[in-house]
Formats: sequence, C-alpha cells, structure tokens
Amino acid sequence: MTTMEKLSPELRGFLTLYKWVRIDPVPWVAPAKPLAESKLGLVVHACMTMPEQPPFHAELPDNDPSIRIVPSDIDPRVLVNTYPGQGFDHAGLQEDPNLLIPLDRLREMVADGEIGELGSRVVSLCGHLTKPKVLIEETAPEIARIFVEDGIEVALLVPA
Amino acid sequence: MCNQTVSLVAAELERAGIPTVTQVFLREIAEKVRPPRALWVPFDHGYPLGEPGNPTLQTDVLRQTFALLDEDGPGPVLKEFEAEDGWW
Repeated sequence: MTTMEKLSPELRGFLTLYKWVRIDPVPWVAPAKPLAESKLGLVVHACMTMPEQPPFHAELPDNDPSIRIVPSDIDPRVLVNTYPGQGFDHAGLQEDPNLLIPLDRLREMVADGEIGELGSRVVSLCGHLTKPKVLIEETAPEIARIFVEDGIEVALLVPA
Repeated sequence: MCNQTVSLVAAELERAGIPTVTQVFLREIAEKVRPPRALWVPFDHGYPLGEPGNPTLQTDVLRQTFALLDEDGPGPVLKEFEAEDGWW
C-alpha cells in the first residue's frame, strides 16, 4: 500500500509542500443508465503510445500535457512505453500492460454483459504535470470533446 | 502527481456531462484534490489494478471502481478497496 510514511523523505516533502489543485465545486453527473447499457471511455496515464506515434516528452521542464489516441480494439502488449523514467515501478507494466491499460479486462466485462461497449478511442496521458495549467485549459477540454463526439456515457481514468 | 492529473480530467469530463470513476493511491492527496468518484486502492504506484498476471484481482478492482457509479452525489465520493482474504 502506498502511504505518505512509505515514501522517501524527499518525495514526502514535495507532496506535502506542493500546492495541489482543489476541485471546487466538485462537478457531478449521475449516470443516465446502467453500466451494462453504457458506452465506456478509457483514459490511461502510463505514457503509452502506438509504435508509430511520436513519443511523449515528459522529461521537459514543463512535462508533456499532450495526448495520444489509442484504438480500443488493440492488444495492449503492442503499446510502447515512451517514458520509462516516469516515477513509478515499471516492472508490473512490462509484465502485464493490463495493470495500467486494462483493455483485456474491459473487453471481458463487455463480453460478460457488465459493460455495454467500449468507445473506440482510448486517451493516453503522460508525465507528472506539476504545472497543470495547460492540462486544465487545453488537454482536459480536448479529451472531453473527443469523448462527447464518441458518445461516451461513462469514463474510467486509470492513474499510474 | 498522476492522481491530480486524472482527477482534473475527470472533473472536466463531468462538466461535459460524462460521469467518471478513477483509482487513487494516496488518500491524503485524494482528499486535497477531490476527484468526483475515486476508489482508494492499497497498491503501489504503477500497480493501480493490483498485480500483473492476476486477472481476477484486476477485474475485482474494476468492479469496485465501477460500483462508485451507484453512489449518490454530491461528490467527492472516496471509497476504500475491500480486499478479499489472500490477495496479498
């Protein structure tokens, strides 16, 4: 389990002093219908791209708030981790990408009737984004536009 | 930091009319940032769905995450993952 006490003193100090963005008011939309009848959108935060896509550049001072669109019908094992320096243990991701990009699990839940269907476009994000201005003003609205255009009715966001 | 990133995207999706769910690793950070619906998972960064090669656990985490959709608003709703005996 990740707890503040388990983190290094340096990281704990950063997380304590960092000025977190407080979502206020908290927006809230009730689902219009059951998950079993809904189209699901997926956002993942593991710096993964398709092999032919340009890599993320999270090593830049302001990080990389761009996105990559990944088809939801792919095998997640074809995805490329373009920023292996991102601050988490990558061993699990390398062994089983479903740990962070759970396309196989979600397709099983669709087949079992627990989820209506998957949206065709998965959104991939990257990096620490300690300066979230561009994320708030540009990236997040772009993701919302994509999901509205795709008719997404529920969204799952998986952190890294 | 990833928790803040996905939380801010979740808030924008909710404002666009799409209900959202996510996982968080650090309860303290989730309470500060306040994503609309979040499952606090007892795993390390890089392991949001538990263990590699353990589809049963991964699906359990997903089911408990989606169960947040049944919660009444207003948010934030922050629930803790309920582990079965022997997961770790």
